[in-house]
Parts: sequence; C-alpha cells; structure tokens
Amino acid sequence: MRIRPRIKLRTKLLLLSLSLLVIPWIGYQYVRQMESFLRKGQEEVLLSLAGAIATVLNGRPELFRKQGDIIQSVRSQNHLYVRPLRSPIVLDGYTDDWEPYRERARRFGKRHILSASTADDESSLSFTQIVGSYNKHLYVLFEVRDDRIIYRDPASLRLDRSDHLLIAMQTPNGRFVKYILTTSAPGWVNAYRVPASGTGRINSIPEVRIKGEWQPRPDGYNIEIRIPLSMIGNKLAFAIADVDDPRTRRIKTIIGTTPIGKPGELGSVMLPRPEMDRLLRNLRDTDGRIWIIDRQRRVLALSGSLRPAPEKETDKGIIKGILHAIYRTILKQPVTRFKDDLSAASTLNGDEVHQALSGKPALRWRQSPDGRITIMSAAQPVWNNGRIIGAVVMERTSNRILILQNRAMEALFNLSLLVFLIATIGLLMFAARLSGRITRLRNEAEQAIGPDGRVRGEISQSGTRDEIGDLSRSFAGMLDRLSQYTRYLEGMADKLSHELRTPLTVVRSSLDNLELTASDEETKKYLQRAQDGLRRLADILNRMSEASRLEQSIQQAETERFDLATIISACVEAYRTAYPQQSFTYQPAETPLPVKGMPDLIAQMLDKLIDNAMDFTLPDYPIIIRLRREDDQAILEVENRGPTLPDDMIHNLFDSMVSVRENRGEQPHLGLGLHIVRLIADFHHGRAAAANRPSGDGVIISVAIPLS
Amino acid sequence: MGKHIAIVEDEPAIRDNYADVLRKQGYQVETWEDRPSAMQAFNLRLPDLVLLDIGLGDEIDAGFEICRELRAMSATLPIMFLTARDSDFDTIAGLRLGADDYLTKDISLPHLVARIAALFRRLDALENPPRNDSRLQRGDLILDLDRLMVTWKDQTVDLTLTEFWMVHALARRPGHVRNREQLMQDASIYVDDSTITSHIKRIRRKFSRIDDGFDRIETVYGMGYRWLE
Repeated sequence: MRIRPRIKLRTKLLLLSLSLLVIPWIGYQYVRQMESFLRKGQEEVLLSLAGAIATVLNGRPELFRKQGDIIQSVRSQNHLYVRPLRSPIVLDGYTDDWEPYRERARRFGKRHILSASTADDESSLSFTQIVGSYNKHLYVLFEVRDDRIIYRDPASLRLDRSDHLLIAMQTPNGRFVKYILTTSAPGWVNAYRVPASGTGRINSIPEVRIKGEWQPRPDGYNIEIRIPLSMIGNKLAFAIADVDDPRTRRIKTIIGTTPIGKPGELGSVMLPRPEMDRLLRNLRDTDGRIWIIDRQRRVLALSGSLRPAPEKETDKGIIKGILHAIYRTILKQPVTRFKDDLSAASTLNGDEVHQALSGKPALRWRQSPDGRITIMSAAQPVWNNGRIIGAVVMERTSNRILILQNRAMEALFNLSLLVFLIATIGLLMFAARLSGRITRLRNEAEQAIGPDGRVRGEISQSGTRDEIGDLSRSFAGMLDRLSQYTRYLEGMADKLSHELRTPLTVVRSSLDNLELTASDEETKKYLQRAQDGLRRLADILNRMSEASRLEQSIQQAETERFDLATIISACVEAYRTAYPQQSFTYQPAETPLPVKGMPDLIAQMLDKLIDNAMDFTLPDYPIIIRLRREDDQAILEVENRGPTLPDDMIHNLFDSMVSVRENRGEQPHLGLGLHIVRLIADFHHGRAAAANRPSGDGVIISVAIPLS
Repeated sequence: MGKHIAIVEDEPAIRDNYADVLRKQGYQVETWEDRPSAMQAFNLRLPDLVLLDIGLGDEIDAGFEICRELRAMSATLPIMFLTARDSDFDTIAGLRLGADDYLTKDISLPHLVARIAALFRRLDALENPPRNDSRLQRGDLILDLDRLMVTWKDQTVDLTLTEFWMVHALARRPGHVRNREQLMQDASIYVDDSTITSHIKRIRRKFSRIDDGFDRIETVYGMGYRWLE
C-alpha cells in the first residue's frame, strides 16, 4: 500500500490561498505595460513645460542680447559656460575640493596646440581644466601634464622663459588684456599683465586681483587661480606654455583653450547672470535640467540637475520600513550613478536643438554614454518679433517614469498584500473552525462507543445547518438507534423472564393443585419431576432478571463510606467455611481502603467473582484473591488456574449473556455473573477487566475502584 | 362459616388455580378480573382477605389503586399482593400503600395457603388474649408467634409476614449466621440475593424508627445475617 502524506485541511486551504498571489503578479504585468503610456505622458509634459518656459522668454531679447557684442564669427565650440560652485575653493594647489566637479573637467591636448617649436608630435604637454564660479570670483584648476617642469629663473627678468599660464580676456569695457602666471618655486603665484601683442617682452606690472597657487605633481603640476568676475567681459581664454630646455629656455609648446593671439579669436564666456538666475529659479524643475541657449547653441543659463535628489529618509514605522526595503530589492531603482554627457557642455548639439532653432519643437531620447539610463530632452524655440533668438531645452531621465512605476507597484503590492493577508487569515480561521468541528465530531464518535462496543456517550447534535452539522446529526441519530437497540438487547432477558413468569405461574399453580389431589405414587413421581424442572426454569428466569433488578436497586441505592479491606476479608473468611473443599489464598491490602458505595453490592460482586473462579478452577489449585492499593485506586483481583480466555472474548466478557463455558453443568449459566460484576464496578466508578495469567494457565479478573 | 377471600387476577388459569386450592382449604372464594368489577363488589361488601395482582388487563397499576381504596374503607382488612412484578420499587410501593404482605408468583401454593392461614391467625389472635407459651423473647425483642406480632422495647414493630418470618428465623438462634437460602426458606419465599438484602434493610429501618440505636441484625458479608444478643 502506498502511504500518502497526511495533509491537514488547514494546510490545504493555506496552499489554496497561495493562488491569491496571482493578483499582485497580474498587477505587476499591468504596471509594466503601462510604461509606454507613462513615456508618452512624460514626453508631452516635458514638451509643454519647455514650451511654457519658452513663452516666458518670448519677446525678451535683452536676456539674449547681452551677448549681442559677441562677434558672430566666433566658433560656438569655443564658448565656455561657467557653472557655479557649491562651496568655496581653497587656493592650495590640491585638487580635493575640486573632486565634486570632476565631471566638468575638459581636456586639452594635441588638438589644441597653438604653437610648437618642433613639428614632431613628441610633445608631452596636456592639461585638464575645471572652471567654476563662487561668490563673484571665477576659479580655475589646471592639471598640467608635463614631463619636465622649468621654473622661472629668479635672476631673469623675462616672464616667458619658463613654464607658465597665459590668460587672455576681454574686459567688460571691451579692452583686450593678457596676463602671465609663472613662478620660480612652487607655491603662491602672481599674475603679471603683459602687453597684448607679443608675449616675450619683460613687463612687470603685477596684477594682484588674480591670485594663484602652483603645486608640482609627479607627472606635472597643478595651478589653481582666482579671478574676480568683475574683471571678465565676454571673452576668456587660457593657455599653458611649456619650456623643456633649462638652458635655452625657449617655449616648446603652447596649448590653449582657444587661440589667444587676437581679440577676435578668443572664445566667448558666459558667466552666471543674476537676471537669468532669478528667472530660472522660478522655473526650476525638480528632477530635470533646463537649458537656455542662444542661436549659436551656446549655453546662456542652466538650472537643475539630472541626478535625483537624495531620498529623504522619513520615519515610516517598522512594517512600512521592512516593506520598503523589500520593494527596493525587488523593483528596479532609480539610477543615481551614471555618466552625464552634458555635464561640462557649454554648447548643445542634439537634433532637437537644431530643430528647435529652426522653429520646430522637438523631442529626443538618448542613452547616457555608459548606457545606464535614458535621457529625454525636449526643445522649444524662443521667438522675438518673428525671429528665433534662442531655445529652451528641458531634460529628464527615465528615473522619473521608474519612480512613478515603482510608486504604482508599491501601492499595488501593499494592497494585494493586505488582501492576501485578510483572505489567508479568513481561510485559516475558517479551516481551523472546520477542522475543529470535525475533530470534535471524530473524538465524540470515538468516545461514544467503548472498546467493548457498548454505547457509552452521546454526540451533541450540532445546530449548524451545513454538511458537518448534518453529519453530526446523523451520527447522533445513528448512535441513538444503536443505543436503543443495545438497550433492547440488554433488557431482553428481563422482558423474557417477565413474559415467561405468567405461564410459569399457571404451570406451577396447576401442578400444586394436582399434587394436592394426587393419590398414587406414580403420579407423585412425575409430579415431583415436573416440579424439579419448574424450579430450574424459575431459577433461570430469576437469574435473567437479576441484572435488571440490580440496576433498579442501584438507582435507589444510598451510598456510604466503608473500608473495602474489611468487607473483602470477611467475605473470604465466609467462603472458606462455605466451601471447605476449595482452598483460597488471600493477599490482603496493607492499609485500609476507604471507598464510597454499598458494602452489600461489593459482597455481591465478590460472590460473582468467586462463583466464576470456582466454575473454572482446576482442582487442587487455590483461588487467589488479592487486594492492594495503586495510587488512588483499590485493586481487587481474583485469579484461578484453568482454561484461558480467547482473545476476542476479553472485552466482551462483562456483557450480558456472554459465557465461555464449554461443558454445561447442573447449574444454568447465562453469563450474567460478570455482567453484574461490571454493573457494580460501574456503580462504584470503577472498572472491571479480564486478562489471562502471563504464564497462560489461568485467568485474572480485576476490579479497580477509586478510593474516596 | 369459612372466611371470605377475594382474588383479583386477570389471568384466568392462575385465578382459577388459586381459587381451587383455597376452596379446598374451606375458604369461600370470589374472583374478579378487573378493577371496576372488583370495586363494585367491594363497595357492596368487604371480603375477609384480598389477594391482588398489580397489573390488571390494560391498567398496569390497577392493584395499587384497589389497595388504596380498600385501605380507605377499612384499616384492618388483610391485603396481600400476589404478583409477577418483583422489583424493589413495586414491593416498596405496595407495602407503603398498606398491604400486609407482598408475594411474588414464585411462591408455591402450599406456601401461599400457609401465609393466608397465618394472616388469619394473626387476626384471630388480635381479638383473643395472647397465650404466653407461643412467645419468643430475646432481650428487648418479643415475638408473638400466634398473632405474628413483634415488639421491641415494648413497642410494636409493624412488620409484614415475610419480614416477621425473617426476624423469627434470625432471632430463634441468636449468634448463628442464617444465609440467604435459609432466610428464604424460613420466610417461604423465593427471591434473589438483592431482594433479601432490601428486605433486611427494610426490617432494620422499621426497628430504627422505634429505637435509633438498633444494631442487632448484623451483615456477615459473604454468608448472611445474624441476630446479636
């Protein structure tokens, strides 16, 4: 036979409730499908936002015109848009405080060589420049790679016979000026104004407003400088000149941000402007970036950032906190670290920008250079008197869609978790109730019928109108019919004897009458035999009704407390005199055994036990009577040698009309003796049991009666 | 002139057998088979002794009913129940209604006749002065064998005939245990052990009603009972 694992009802329903997990799964799929709708929505939002900003700028050419004096021929690539710094920079030549702005760094190398003394490409010179403004100053860091640092000879009057930095700018009032920064030793450096034409002449007018710090590095040197914004006009360029031969001290290479020779060649610079800042502050996008560019696609203003603002850790409570942590691992989270291709941009070159500048609003999706995120940008033209004067470009990342999606997911998960919990708890409670009811019914059914097959108890009829209620009712009905039948069977002996009594009386009284008139011996002989038979018949009938009479007298019995040991001892003495041919071995209890009940009944019970034992005992073996105390019970045992009980009879032995006798003797046996033993034991709240002797050559009948 | 005995019994064969044997003893016997006819006759004239069955036809307690009505008419009329119903409950009910004796149908006819004779003897003796030679005295106990009367400490103990014979059997040989069979023989009844037990219990109770400290009838468990001096 295959053994199936036993699964409880509760477990089954719990497993069933797992099917509810389909709900969040379906929701998950649904939300994922929503992504394209969300994208569309975002696109429209972004375009209309950009349009709104463009509308604000429409007809305000003065915002753009500040640049009007910029010579149109300047190539837009040479434009420099100065982004503000968030904290002050210490001029110490170290780059730590620049690290947050590392993404703004621009490299200048071979492609930016302005002049070289040798034609070969062996030049080792290159530099990285980071620009920022803070509190009315422009800060620039130059990280110069130079295999050989040549400092200025203190004895020399020339400023250009060593490695140096050239600054060329147009002052706000339109003058073209140049400065040189060089030093004879690492540390504080000063700027010197030099004539605008030619760089080699000695000129030692120090410019104290420009300050700098020079620090060597293993592969070159760093220069940090600070220039007041008020000095700077619309154009600005830097160049690094490299001298490698300490003897000749001739300039080997010059690399510049833009050509610096003539004012017209200088790159344009866009410094932070208060009126633009004010405007953009009001238009600020929380998780996007707004650019304003002119017709040359040069950045005039920039606001916001693509990086999501760090999430505020609000106190959410334990459960919400745990859920949130779980969702964060399941759901795709906004990307905070990605490469931004426009972090240092001073001009914009996207398709959408070109289209906007030709008058059409446009939109473009693009991947970040590292592919970790998608950026959406919308561009809208800015008009003035029917002419396009610039454009507004708005950017947002796909993070925003993701956040929206995640928010929807979390709400969905929370809701389905709640539904799942409620449904599961409901099912569990239902299952517990069901299985509780079934278990109770099973226990009642098991206890209702004893090991001997007698109906012992009742099943409480359930009032519930469902299948289990029906089951319990039909169980109760079945048990009721069964116990009625058992009662009928048990009462049959009594009824039978009662019914037989009347005809018996007829026979007896007739015989008695006959006996009074009979004269001859012959008749008397037969009369005597008939009377003998009649007496035996009456005896049988009496025994048959004995049990039911006992039950009746038990109902009216008055109980008293008495010592069981005294009664048993007295009885055993009586048996010894009553049956001299039979030997009895008595093992009395060591202590008195107080019990509550009827001493007469106890004596009657022992009578039946001894009767029974004497019927079966082998001759010459004593009947052993033991009385002892076990815990709170008095145990009475009557043991005899002789035939053993068949196994199937051991439980039924105490039933009415059950007998295992094989040879029928003179006395009629109806198997009622041990039935009476049980009735009396029951009356004393005790139990009667039968067992074979362990050695298999006799029977022990024991009665346990609780002590009072 | 023979005594007049009325038998109320619904089983014709038994009724006739009882009637026959009593007539042979010289009694005048009248028989009825149900309560209405019997009561009709009793209302006209009371017999000297009534033998009653309890269940008559469809009326299961008709005998008790007749007994109650007869006792209301006469306090001294001897009434004997003779019935197949042998439960303690019926015995107590019958005796409580004032019956003089409660016999089951196990009793043989000669015993029945002896009972009836004894009952009449008791009636007679109550009317005539007692003869001292038929008295049995054991301490405070005096048994009057003619009138079948028992006195304890000079007070009459109201015993039925069965109970009287049992007390007699015990008191005749004080200190000797009489087992149940012997008691049944002496009282001319045949009942089972538990009925004997309840008889003894009733006897003790009747004595106790007169004397709280009565403890002369001792149970010898496993054997029987004995009278203690």
